[in-house]
Amino acid sequence: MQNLLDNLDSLAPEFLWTSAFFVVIFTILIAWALSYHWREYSIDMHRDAKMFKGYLSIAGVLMVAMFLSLILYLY
Amino acid sequence: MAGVNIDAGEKVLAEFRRHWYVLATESAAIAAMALLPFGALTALTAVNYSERIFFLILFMSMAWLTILWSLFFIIWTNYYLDVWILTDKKIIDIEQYTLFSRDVSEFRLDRIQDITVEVKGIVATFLKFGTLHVQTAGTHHEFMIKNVPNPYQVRDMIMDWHSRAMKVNNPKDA
Repeated sequence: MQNLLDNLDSLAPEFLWTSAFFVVIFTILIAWALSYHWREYSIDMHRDAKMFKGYLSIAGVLMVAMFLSLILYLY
Repeated sequence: MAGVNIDAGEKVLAEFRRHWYVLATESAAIAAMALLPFGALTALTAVNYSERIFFLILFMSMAWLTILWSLFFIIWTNYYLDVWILTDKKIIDIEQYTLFSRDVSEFRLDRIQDITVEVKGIVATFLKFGTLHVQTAGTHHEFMIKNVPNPYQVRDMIMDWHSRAMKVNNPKDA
């Protein structure tokens, strides 16, 4: 366990930032695809818009927590 | 909605989706993978670690959960947009296979010839879901809604509106 943690601790900051931005790009691509579906194929626009906002809110909170913990780790 | 024609004055009576059990089984793997970060954070308490390492593990956990959340929402979108819409004139069958892959078909209620309910297995029996097969006149295509909750009630509702449609369209036959 200690070895694993030491290995993780030796990861380059550039690698961690790249990983974080990869997650952001992935989420943006998925959000774009989902927004197309929820807009184009919606049965109840009002209800469906709320659901999509729910997705974006939770994804946003997770990404903010991800960046905060990265900053707190590195600095 | 793209590909779906609902005439002016046509009433939407119900929307039928697959049972929540289907969603639960499809997202079970994601739920299991979402537990990994909590396991890792708990395991950290067993070793001497610095606060810095805690934030590193937290960073990885949040990245992991963000990806899983998006994957879960794709499953939810496929589940939610896969629907049967019953109106007072027709049934619209929307098959959402995956993102960017769907099939929309519809048939008039007065074209229905036969509806079969299929409930298979102990889970389906106890959770009350099953598959409806609808045979329509003049087509070899069988319409099917898989794993719909309360299939007998859905069948009765469709048959009730089928009878009404028959009365409107063929008052002498009805």
